[in-house]
Amino acid sequence: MSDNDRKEAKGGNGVSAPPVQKLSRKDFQSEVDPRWCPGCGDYSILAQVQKVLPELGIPKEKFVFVSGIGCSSRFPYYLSTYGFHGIHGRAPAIATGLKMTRPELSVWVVTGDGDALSIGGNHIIHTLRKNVDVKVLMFNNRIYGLTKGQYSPTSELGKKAKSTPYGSIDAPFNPLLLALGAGATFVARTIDVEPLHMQQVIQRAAVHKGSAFVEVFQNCNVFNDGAYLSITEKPVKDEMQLRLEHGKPLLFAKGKKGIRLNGFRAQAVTLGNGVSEKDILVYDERAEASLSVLLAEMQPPSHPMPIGVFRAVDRPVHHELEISQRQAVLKSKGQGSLAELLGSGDTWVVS
Amino acid sequence: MSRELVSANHAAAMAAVLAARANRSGRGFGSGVYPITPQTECIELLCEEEIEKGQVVRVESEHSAMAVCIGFSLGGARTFTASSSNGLAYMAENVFNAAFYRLPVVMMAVNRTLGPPWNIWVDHGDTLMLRDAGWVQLYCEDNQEVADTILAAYRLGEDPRILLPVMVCQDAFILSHTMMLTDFPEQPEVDAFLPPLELPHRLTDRPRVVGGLDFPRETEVHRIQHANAMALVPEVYREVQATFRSRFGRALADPVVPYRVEDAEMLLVSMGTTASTVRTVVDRARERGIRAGALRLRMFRPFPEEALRGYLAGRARVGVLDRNLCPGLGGIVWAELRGVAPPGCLVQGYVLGMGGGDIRPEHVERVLQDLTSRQRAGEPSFVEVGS
Repeated sequence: MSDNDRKEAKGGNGVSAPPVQKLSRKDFQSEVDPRWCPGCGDYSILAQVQKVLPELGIPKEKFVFVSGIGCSSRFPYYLSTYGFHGIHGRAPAIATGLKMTRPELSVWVVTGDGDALSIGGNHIIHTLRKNVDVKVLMFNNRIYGLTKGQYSPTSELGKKAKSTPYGSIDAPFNPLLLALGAGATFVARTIDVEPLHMQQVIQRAAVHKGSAFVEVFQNCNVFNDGAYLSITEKPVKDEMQLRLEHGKPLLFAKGKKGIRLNGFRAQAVTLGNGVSEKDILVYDERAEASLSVLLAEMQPPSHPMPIGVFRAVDRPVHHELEISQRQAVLKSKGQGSLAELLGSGDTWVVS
Repeated sequence: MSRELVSANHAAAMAAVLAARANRSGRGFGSGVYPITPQTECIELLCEEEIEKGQVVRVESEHSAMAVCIGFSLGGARTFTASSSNGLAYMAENVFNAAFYRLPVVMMAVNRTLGPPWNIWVDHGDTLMLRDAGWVQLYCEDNQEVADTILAAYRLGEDPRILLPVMVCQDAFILSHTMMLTDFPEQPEVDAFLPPLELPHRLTDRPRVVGGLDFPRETEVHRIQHANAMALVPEVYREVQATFRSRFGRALADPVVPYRVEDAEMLLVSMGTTASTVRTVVDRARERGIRAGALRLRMFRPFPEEALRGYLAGRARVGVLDRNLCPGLGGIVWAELRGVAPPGCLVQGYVLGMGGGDIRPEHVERVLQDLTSRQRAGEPSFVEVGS
């Protein structure tokens, strides 16, 4: 770390936001023409990110988008921020190093279900458990797109893909349960075809201090088309989507249905016939993780699919802990000297 | 025999499936697979095929693909996987393990440029990175050779005198995605060529630990055993060639394949598909009265020192065409070949076609002109081929 870098980093353990000129979506569009398959859900995610970034009051050169390998990982090309097309699955580790040395930067990881949960499974969980201050956008299309259609760790049981012509026998990951299990302090889910919702979720992730994990349901219209149709189609989406809102009852189907606790279970119920709104669970994103787990386990067809912020809690972030530990050790033990260290303990003089 | 129009990716998979089925009377077949461009079609075909006593595990990374093969192999099964480029780099730890465990895993490697920056086209730097991993390495020139070499790899690697993994390498896209008419033997012929695998150190009913802690003397012994097995490869390979010919009625190429070398004053040495372009240039040079010849290095590990010494004896000039770069050294084939060239022979290295640049006859002509006009060998020379 150079002196100049140190000066820049000084006083900025979170993201520093000096007054800057108002930026627009256009300011975050790079000169590179986005190249995904026509109709890919990734275009929508790119557009929403480009809408949110100018609202954060951070100069564009203070953003870094780190990716791995996969369709999602083309993302940094299309943003006029710093970008880093890393290696397969290692974006969280690269981002960790970057955030540690340049804490004033807003560091993002763009990844997919394959990149984050197959080859990079190890790194994602450790980044989350350490609460490294990075924002992870995980595009979940439930397929390997870039290698043209093999099953992924989020493909459903029985999925027929090029690597599983007779159907997958492997139980899929629930990415949110994995993130919650790893101790992520911010966990959310949104959908590529819900642009306003996506913007809200991305904005919340951006301002969260600590690891933010956002799963984006993303349609791969070439290799896994319609993976989310059962929850996104207009006639069914009110019935099949549950929008989580902090402090509000878990209602869906235009308020006609809700979620209530039945013992340890979340139960979808219709209001009326003795069930009233006061029976419905009020959502608290800051509650014990067990509530978020309960909601993350909810899946159609028995339940609606929850989207929104599942958990948002505060916990010291990794680089701040590292700095404060260093300072505490220095304070208690002093600067120390190499000669003293070498001469300490079980040493003797050979004569 | 059946004749099929297939890509080299499918040729490799079809040969692996024949070998897999041949072990049905033994302890079956197992594979850990993970996609990577440009080999994905190979493992996709493997996933589709019904193999009696065969199992394929779709793993989460190349590292695990080789680990699963190690597990299958220790259990006594015949194994196969495929990878490429950065996949091989990530797999590397277990690539070494498979060899150190002395497991006859066969892997088809599609040569692809190591990233970043990302590039999916041919370059030999990926498998050459693993030249010290203790595997036998064979490089192919066409789809038929890919299929034949996969079959031969099992016979060679599983020989009780060898017990080593074998990497069968082929050029990205030029072979992997190009269809050629390829002959495949019938299953009974393959059954006869590949008897059931009898791995002496497989897990049996006598419990023991594989891969424990070695002290220096034990490691020394293990490494010397490994080196001795490698030293036997050329001899056993000759036997495999003879059996191959008698079973399948066609030749399996030599470790070093000569072309118009009889009276050649100068030789051009290359690996993989570059060799076919080199042959064209040699023919043209001969028409001009230049006594040029060529060698195709098919076996890179073990380094076929004896064969190379034989071919290089008496030559005045040797040009080595490397489709790889070891920064700070030069082309890897050139660097190794220098050690076996006779005294006084001018050995010049040329690096060309990195990152998949199309090596055309005019580029090899340039190499030949440079080699002809040289007074002495110099630093490795870059022949830029462009896109």
